[in-house]
Amino acid sequence: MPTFKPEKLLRASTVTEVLDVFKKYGDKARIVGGNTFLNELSKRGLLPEVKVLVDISGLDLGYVKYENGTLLLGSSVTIQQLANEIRVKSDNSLKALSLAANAVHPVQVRNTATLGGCVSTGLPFLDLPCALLALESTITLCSIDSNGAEVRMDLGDYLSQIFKLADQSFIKDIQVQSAKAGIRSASSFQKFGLTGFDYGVVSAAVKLSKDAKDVCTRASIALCGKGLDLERMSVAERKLVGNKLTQEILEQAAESASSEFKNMTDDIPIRGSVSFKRHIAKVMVARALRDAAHDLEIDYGR
Amino acid sequence: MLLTIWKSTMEDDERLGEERQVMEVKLIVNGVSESLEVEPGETLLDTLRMRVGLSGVKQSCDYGGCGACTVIADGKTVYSCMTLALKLSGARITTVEGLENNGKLSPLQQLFVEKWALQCGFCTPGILMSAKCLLDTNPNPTEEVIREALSGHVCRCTGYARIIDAITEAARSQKI
Repeated sequence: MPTFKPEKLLRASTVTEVLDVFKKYGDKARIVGGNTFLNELSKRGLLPEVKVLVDISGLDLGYVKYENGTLLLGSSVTIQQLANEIRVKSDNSLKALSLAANAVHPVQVRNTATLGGCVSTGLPFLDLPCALLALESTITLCSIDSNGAEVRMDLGDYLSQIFKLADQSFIKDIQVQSAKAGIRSASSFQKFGLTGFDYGVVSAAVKLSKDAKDVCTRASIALCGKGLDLERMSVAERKLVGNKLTQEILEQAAESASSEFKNMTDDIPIRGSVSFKRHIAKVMVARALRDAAHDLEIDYGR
Repeated sequence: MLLTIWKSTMEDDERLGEERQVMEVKLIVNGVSESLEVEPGETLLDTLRMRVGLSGVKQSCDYGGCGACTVIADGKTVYSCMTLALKLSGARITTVEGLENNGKLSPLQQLFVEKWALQCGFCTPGILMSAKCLLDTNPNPTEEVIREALSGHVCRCTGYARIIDAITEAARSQKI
């Protein structure tokens, strides 16, 4: 098996220094945050080309801030830090993020794994990117292409270009919009794994906004899991927007999401057949929608 | 200091592919300051076992699946098999060897013995560290909280019930 033997660990203290490493070493360099994912890849012999590790802890990106109704999460924030964040726990519109952080097991991993690492792996079965996608998050990216200038982009756009961006950029922080004044929003996250600290076979994250008449003004539903693409369920979302949030409409949206998601390997069952995952997806989306509707104090006939 | 390291490595491109850099890391291990030379990709597990000589930290699955390598770093449990030693520069590390006092088992260790919370003992050092960290931060945990704290450990002998009993008793009697 090819061995992982990095020859250098460079401690960067500025964005320019990180990008200089990418320019100089290309795919021989990798940023190391909590080392949880890098470690797994390296132990499987999948990183033989990596010779240089870049430690970005000197950039002080371990912040959680609230600015003008936006939650700002530095890429070095650990999952445990996010799980403990009181304002995230207590804000219904951000609840999916708190639930997803607490769905990562065990605590040893939560204590070291970072948010930036979690998103930049691009793995479609990790919990937090799913929640962040449903919360319509944006990221600040520093890349060689922009000569170090910060570029803001939607998380969904980033994830769709991740393989192109991986060797030439890094995530500085992630922005999540909290509830806007006058608009009631709530979110939720539901995960189905085969064991207590499994990756999600199917996980669902949702966010709902409503007006005073309980009519849905905005909806987002994201699904992820083993063998699935991480993506928004736009058809299911359209079933909700403009309609009064009743149990019937929530069930219809869940049904729609279950038939909408793409399975990457229809012929190879990964942690369950496609029909099993479609059933679980329906259950997870329905639970998440009901939870969000409950937090919006909607009487949907439960 | 960091800038010096940065410049020396960035200007030293011709070395890439020829030899590995060795860097110094300072750790406080079980209350003792250690200044160690480690390789860039070296895990804390290897550093503790091979350079400090603490064999109580167990190597088992080696990718964060079993918990046998768990140590406490700056008050938090981490898997030492997936933590780079260089990332913990200046950290306070506690291993199972740091629990005993003058050759006497800590009350928590003693309760593990009395409650038969171990059989082969291979997973025990890691579980003790998680239990210690839990009780340090939450002296009165519920069984659910204890189970959550132990969720990153695999024990193939005991079936976990006696481990939970020992930790519950440690909390009840405030013996850590």
